[in-house]
Amino acid sequence: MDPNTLALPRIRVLWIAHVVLLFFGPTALPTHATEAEDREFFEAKIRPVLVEHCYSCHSQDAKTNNKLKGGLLLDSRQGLLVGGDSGPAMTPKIPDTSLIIAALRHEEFEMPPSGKLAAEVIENFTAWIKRGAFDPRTSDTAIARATIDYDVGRQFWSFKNPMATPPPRNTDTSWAQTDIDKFIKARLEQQGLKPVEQATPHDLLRRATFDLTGLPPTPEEMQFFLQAIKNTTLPQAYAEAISRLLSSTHYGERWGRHWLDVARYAEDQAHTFGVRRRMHAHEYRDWVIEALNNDMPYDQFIKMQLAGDLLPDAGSSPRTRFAGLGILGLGAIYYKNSDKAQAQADELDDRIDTVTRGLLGLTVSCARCHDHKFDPIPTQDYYSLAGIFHNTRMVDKPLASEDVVNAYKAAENLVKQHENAAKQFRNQRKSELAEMQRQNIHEYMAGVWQYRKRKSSDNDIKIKTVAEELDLVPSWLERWEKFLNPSNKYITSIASLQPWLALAAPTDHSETLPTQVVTAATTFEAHLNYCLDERDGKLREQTAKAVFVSQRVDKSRPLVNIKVDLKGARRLFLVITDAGDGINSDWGDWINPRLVKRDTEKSLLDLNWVSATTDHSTVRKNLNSAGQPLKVDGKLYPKGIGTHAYSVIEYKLPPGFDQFISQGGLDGSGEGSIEFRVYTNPPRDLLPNNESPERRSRKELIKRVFSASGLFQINDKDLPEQLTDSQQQELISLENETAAAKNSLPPSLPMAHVVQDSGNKDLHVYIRGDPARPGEAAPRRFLRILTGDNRIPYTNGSGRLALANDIASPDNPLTARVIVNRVWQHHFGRGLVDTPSNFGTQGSPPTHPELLDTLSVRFMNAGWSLKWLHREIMLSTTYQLSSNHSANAETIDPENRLLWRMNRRRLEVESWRDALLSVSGNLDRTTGGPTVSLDDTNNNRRTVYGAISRHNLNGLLRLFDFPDANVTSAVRTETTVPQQQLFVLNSDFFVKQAKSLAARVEAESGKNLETQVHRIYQLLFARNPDQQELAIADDFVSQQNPKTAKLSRWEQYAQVLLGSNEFLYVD
Amino acid sequence: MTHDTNLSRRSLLSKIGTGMGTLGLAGLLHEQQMLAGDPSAGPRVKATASTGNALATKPPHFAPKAKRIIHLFMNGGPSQVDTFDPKPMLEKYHGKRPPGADLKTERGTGGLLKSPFKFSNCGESGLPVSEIYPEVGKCIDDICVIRSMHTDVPNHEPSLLMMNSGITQPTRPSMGSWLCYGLGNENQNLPGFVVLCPGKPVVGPQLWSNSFLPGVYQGCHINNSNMDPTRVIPHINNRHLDHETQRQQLNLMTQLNSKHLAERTSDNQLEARIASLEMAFRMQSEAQEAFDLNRESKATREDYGNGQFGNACLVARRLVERGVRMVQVFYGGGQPWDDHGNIESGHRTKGLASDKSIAALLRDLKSRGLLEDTLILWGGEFGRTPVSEGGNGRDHNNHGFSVWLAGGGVKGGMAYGATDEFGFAAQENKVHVHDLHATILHLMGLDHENLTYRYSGRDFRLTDVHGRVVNEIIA
Repeated sequence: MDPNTLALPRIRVLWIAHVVLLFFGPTALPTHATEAEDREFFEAKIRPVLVEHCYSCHSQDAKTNNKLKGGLLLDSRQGLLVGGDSGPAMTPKIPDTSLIIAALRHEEFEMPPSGKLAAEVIENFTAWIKRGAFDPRTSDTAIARATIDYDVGRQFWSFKNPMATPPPRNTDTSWAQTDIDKFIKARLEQQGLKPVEQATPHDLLRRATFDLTGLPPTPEEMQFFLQAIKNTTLPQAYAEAISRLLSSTHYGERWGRHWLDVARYAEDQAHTFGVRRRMHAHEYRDWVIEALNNDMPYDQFIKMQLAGDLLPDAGSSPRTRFAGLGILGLGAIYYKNSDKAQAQADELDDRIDTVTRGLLGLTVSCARCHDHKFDPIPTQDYYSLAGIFHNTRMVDKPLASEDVVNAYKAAENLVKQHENAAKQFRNQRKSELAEMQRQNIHEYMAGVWQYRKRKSSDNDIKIKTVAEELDLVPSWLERWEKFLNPSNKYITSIASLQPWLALAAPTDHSETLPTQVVTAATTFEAHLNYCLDERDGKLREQTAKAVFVSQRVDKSRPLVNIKVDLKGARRLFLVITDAGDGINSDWGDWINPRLVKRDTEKSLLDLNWVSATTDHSTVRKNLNSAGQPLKVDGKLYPKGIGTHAYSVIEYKLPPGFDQFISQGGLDGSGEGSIEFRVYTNPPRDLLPNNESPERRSRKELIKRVFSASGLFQINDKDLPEQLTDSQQQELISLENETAAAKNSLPPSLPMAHVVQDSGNKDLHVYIRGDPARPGEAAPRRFLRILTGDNRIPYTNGSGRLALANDIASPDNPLTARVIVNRVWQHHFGRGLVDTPSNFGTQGSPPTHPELLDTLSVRFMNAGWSLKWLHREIMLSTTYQLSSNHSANAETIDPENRLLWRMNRRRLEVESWRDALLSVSGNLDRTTGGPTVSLDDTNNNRRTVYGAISRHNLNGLLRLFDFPDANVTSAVRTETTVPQQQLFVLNSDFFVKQAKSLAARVEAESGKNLETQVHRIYQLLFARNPDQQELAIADDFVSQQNPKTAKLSRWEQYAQVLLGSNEFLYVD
Repeated sequence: MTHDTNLSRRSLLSKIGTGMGTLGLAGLLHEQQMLAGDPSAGPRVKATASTGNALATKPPHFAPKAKRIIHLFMNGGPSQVDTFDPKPMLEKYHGKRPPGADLKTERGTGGLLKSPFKFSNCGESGLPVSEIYPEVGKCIDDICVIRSMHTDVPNHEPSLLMMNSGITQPTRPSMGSWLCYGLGNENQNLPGFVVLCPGKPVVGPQLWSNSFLPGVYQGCHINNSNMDPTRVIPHINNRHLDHETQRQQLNLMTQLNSKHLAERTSDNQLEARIASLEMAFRMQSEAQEAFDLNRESKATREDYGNGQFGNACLVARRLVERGVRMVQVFYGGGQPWDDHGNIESGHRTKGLASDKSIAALLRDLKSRGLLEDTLILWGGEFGRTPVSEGGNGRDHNNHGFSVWLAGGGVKGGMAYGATDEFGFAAQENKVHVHDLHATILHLMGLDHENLTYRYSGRDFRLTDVHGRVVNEIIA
C-alpha cells in the first residue's frame, strides 16, 4: 500500500497523460573535455548515425507519421533521457546501464533491426556516453512519460458504480409493459422510430424455446400454448411458458454452453508433446449446467469458480466446493521444454485473460508488457493478479466426501495388497522353477546353435520342431534364440558370452556340435551359476578396499589432488562415485592421470584401459563424457579422462611404476557432488547403491535369465501344473482373496481437475513481459481502478479468495454489468455493449447506458438471480417484437441497434444439431457424464456433451463457427461458406436425420401426403404449411426417382426441410 | 400467418436450371423481391463478415508481386550446412569444438561435423547447392536463399508455431489464415487455404488454425496419404443421389428458401446462405476435379515423381492455378527432417526424395507463366547444428538456418545474409521469422503493420510488434 495515498478520498475520474517535463540542457557536461571537443565529437560521430539509422522510427517525424516504435524518441536529449516503453535509453556517464548501448550491441534489443552497426560506431556511442553524452539537440515539445491518473480514469462510465434510474416517460404510454420497454421506447421515440408489431404466438414460443433450452418446441407444446392463450390471455400463457422453460433441465445445457465459451472450456491442450487428456473435465461442465439449473446466485457462481475450495460458506460436499474450480483447473498448459519461464508466464496470462475479460470485461492482458495503452491498468496491476495464479497449482481432486475417499482408498489398497501377494507368490515360484534349469543352460544354447544350423539349409524349419527333437521346452528355446541374437546390444556387452559370439555362423556343413559350441555354452552356464552363487552368498567375499578416497568434490570444491602409492600392485581401478547426494548430474574428470617411477612419468592417456564403464554416456579421452572439452571450475584442460559417476576404469599396470598422480575435478557440466577412489583390486567395499557396475551387470543377467519375466519365464496359465499340491492350494487361496477384495471395491471415485494454493509469494513485474528481467515488486491485490487507492494486499494464501470476493462484489462496477450484458446478448443476438468482454475505453459504449445500469442494480438486488433476469428481459414487449422488416426504421437504424424489431438469428451449431436430432426423433436426452465424440454419426447426445478439443476441434464445430477453446470467447463470429452446406447436402449425419424424420412422420401420420407435410411443418417450424407449400411438396414427392437413388423422394424432401433456412433461422 | 406472394412455383422452377450461376441467382432473387411486391427494398443492412461472403476477394494494400503462395514445409528442421549454406571451415575443423559452439540448443553436442555432401556451383549465378538437391540446383537462378534466418527456441513445438503463426504458443492465427482474411480467395468453389499433410505433423491443427479469426479462414487439411478426390474435403461427395437428382433436390431447397426469404423482405444472411448452397453444389465437382491427378498427363506425373510428396506438389500447382490463396505442402507427417542421428543417410534420402518434385513444380509453374506471381517458400521450422550430436547427427538450431523463396517477385540466383564461419548462428543481415512473414505479406500486397484484427481489446498482427520487410530480396 502506498502510504502517500492513504488520505485520498475515493474519487472516480478519467485518465490523461501525466506530463513530466524534463529540462536537461547541454549544461550537464563532463569536466575533462572542452565543450568544443564534445560538440565536434557529437556532430562527427553521433548525430549522423542517429539520423541515418534511428530517426526513421524514433523521431518526432516518425511520431507524426505513425511510425514511432517503442514510444522512444532519439531526436533530442530529452528523448533519450525519458526513454520509451522500456525506460530511459541512456544514463549519462554510465554506458553499461544505458539501454541504447545494449541495443546497439544486440544484447537487449537488436538495433538497428537491419543489422548490427560497425564495432567502432558502437565504441563511439560508448565513449560519448562515458564523456557525459553531450547533446545540443533540444525538443520543441515537452516529452512525457505517460502515467495513469486514476481520478480522471474513474470518470469513464464503466468504472463508475451503476446507478438505478427511474425509467423515462414515453410519449406513447400504451406500448411498454415493463421498465425495460420504457428505456427502449424512449430511445426509439427520440429517433422517430416506430417498433414493428408483436411476434405471432408461433414465432414467440419457437423463439423463447430455442432461447432458453436450445431446442425447438414440440407440436404438443405449441398446441398447449395456443390452447392456454385461448383459455386465459397471451401474457399469462406466455409467462407460464417462460416459467416452464426456465425450470427445464435443458435450460442449464443451453446457458451453460454460453458460459463455457467464456470459460474456454476444453479437455486437452493445443500442443502435441506430453499432453494428458483431462479425463474428468466434464465434471466442470456438469457443475456449470447444474449451477445454472439451480439458479445459483451469480456472485456465488463466480466465487465458487475462483475459490470454492477456500470459501467458508461453500458447503461441505466436495462436488459443490471443488468442481467449479475447473475454470482454472482446465486452463491452458503450454510446452515447457526449452523456455519454461516464458511458458509459465504465458499460462499466467491465460488465467488473467480468462478471468478479467470473462468476468470483468477488462482487457488486463494488454498490460503484460507495458501499461495498458488505453485503460487505467498499469503493468504492476497485471503482475499483482499474475502473483495470485502463480501461487495456485493445478491438481486432481476426488469429488467425494473424505469418508468415501478413505474407504475407497482402503479398499483399493486391499486389492493391491492381495494382488501383490499373489503376484509375489507366483514370481517366487517362477524364479525357483527357472533356477532349477541352471544346469540346462548349455543345452538351450546348443539348441539355438542346432536350430540356426538347420535353418541355414531349411528356411521353413520351425523352432518348435527342433525343440521337440532335443527334448527342450519350445517356448524357452524360442526366447533363447531371440536373446542370443548377435545384433542385440546387451548380449554383446556380456564378457562370458564372447566365446559364443565369436563362433562362426553354423552352416549345413558344420559338424553336429563342435567343441567350440560346447565350450562357449558351458562358459556362459558357469558364469550364470557363479552369478547365482554370488547372490546367494556362496562365494567367499573378497573385500577390496579403496587405497585412496578423495574428499567430497562439488561446486564449492571442484578440484582435488590425488596421489596414490602403487607398490606391488598389478591392477589399477579408477572409481568415481556420486557421493550419494541423489543428484544425477555427476560429471567427473580425471585430469592429467599418470603413473610415476622414479623420474619418469607415463600418462594413462597413452595406455589402453582394460575396461571403462560409466552410468551415463561413455568414458572419453581428453573430452568429457558428452564429447565436450574438459572444463573444471571454468578452466579448460586438454588432457584427462572424462566420465560420469558411477564409473570404473580398469588398467593393467605396466611393471615398475609405483605411484599414481592425478587431479580429480567436477566437470563444468556437472551439478552434483562426486568422490574419487582408487583401488588395486576389484572394488567391493561400496555401498549397495554404489555397488560396482560388474556386480550390477551380474544381477541384471540373473534377472534376464532366471526372473519371473526372464528366459525361463512361465505363463500364469501354465504355472499351476508345475507346482506341488500344497503350492497349488496356496495359490488358489491367494487368488480367491484377491477376487473377494475386488468384489467389495466401491464404485470408482469421481475426480475433477481443479486448483489449490501452493504458495504465498508476490511476483515482480516482468519488464516488457520478459520473465528474465524482473522489475518493481507487484504485491498481490486487486486492480487499483476498481478498488480505489487504498488497496489491501492479499496475504492469505494465493489470494484467490480475496480476488473472488473483490470480483463478485456489489461494489465492483463491472461484474454485474458484464453478466447482464452477456445475458442480453444471447437473448437479442447482440449486447447493449457490443463488445461483451471489453468494457474499457476501446470497447463500444452501451446503446442504452441507463437501462444497462438500472438492470444491473436490480439484478444484484434480486439476489444476482439469472432466472430473474431472463424473466425480466423475456416478458418485455421489446423481446416479444417480431423480426419483421420496416422500411422506414431501416433507413434510420439499419443495424437495429435501438431494437425496433427482434433480430433474426441463425441457430448456433449446438442448437441446430440438437434440433435436427430432436425433430428426427433421435435425440438422447441423457444429461451429464463423460464426453462423447461428435465424429460419431450415431452419437445422439446433446452437443454440449460432445468432446471439446483445443488440439483438434471437431470438424462440425469448427465449420459452424464454434470458438477456438484456447482463449475466452466473447461472441461467436458467424460465417456462411459452401463447406457448411456440403455438410447439409452430403454428410452421413444429415442423411441419417433425414431418413429418421421421414420414417418418423410416416409412422406418426400414415400415408397421406398432406397429413405428413402438416406434421413435418409442425415438427420443424411449429406451424402449418400453406397451400403453396403443400403443392410444392406434392410436386416434388411425386417426381419420378431414378433407380440409382438411395433416398426416396420423401426422404429427399425431409432432408431439404431440415436443411432449409426456416429451420436454421429463428424469427 | 399468411404466405401470400405472387411467386408461382412453376415460374420459379422454370428459372432454376441446372448449373445456374450466382449471377443468375442474384438476378432471380432480385426479381423475386419485385414479384413479392416490395420494389423499394430500402438501404441494405451493411454487409459484414457475418452476413456477406467472407472469402470474397478483397483488394490488397498495394499492388502485389505475388498473388498466391506455396509453402513447401520441410518439417523437422533441415540442416542448412548440408543443403544451401556450405561451410568449408567444417572440413578444416572437423571434430573440433569451436568457442562459439556453446549456444544453447536442445541437447548435448560434440565437435564440428563436416557435411557428408558435396556442394557444386549451380546455374549462371553459381550459387552452391548440395548434392542432395541436384534438380533444385538447376533452378537456382530462380531461387533466393536466405541464409541468415533465426528463430527463438530450439524445440519443434514452439518453432513450428512461430514459423506458421508468428508466436510460440498455440493462440494465434496462422499465416494462411491471415492471408485469406486479408485477401479473400480468388475461387469461391475452393477453400482459400489448403494444407496437404499425410497424417498429422507435430503440434497438429494449430499450425493452420484460424484462432480468433472467423472459422472460414482455417486451413483445410487434406490428408494426402490417400488423395481420393471424393474424400479430400469433408462431405465433398454425395453417395446417395446422382448429380441430376441432387440438382432437383437443391432446386426444391432454393424454391423453399426463396419463398421464405420473400416473406421476410430483405435479409442478407438468408440470401447469402441460398447462394452458398449453390456454391456448395458446384464445389462438389470443382474440388473433386482439382484434386484428381488422373487429369494430368503421364509425362507431367512422371516429372513430379509419383510419390506422396510429388503428388502433393502437383496438387498444389492445380490448386494455385485455380486461384487458391495459399497451399502448404508438408514433407511428411510427424517431423521427418529431424535427423538427430545419421544426417548422411537421413538427409540424403529426404533431399533426393523431394528434389525432383520441387524442381518439377518450379519448372511447371514457370512454363505456365504462374511463377511470376506465385511465391514458393521452402524451409523448415529451424535448422541444425554444425556440431554433431552422437557423432553423425545434428541437434536443433534456432540461431541460424536457411530457407529459400522463388517466384512471386523475389530475386533469383541470390543468397541473402550469412551465418558465421561454421554455420551456427545468423550473423550478417539477420532475418527473423517475423521478418520473413513481413516480407511475404509485403510480396502479397499487404502491409504487415496494417493487416490487423481487433480482438480482446487490441489489434493483433501476424508479426505482433516485430517484422521488417527484407526489401533487398525483392526484384
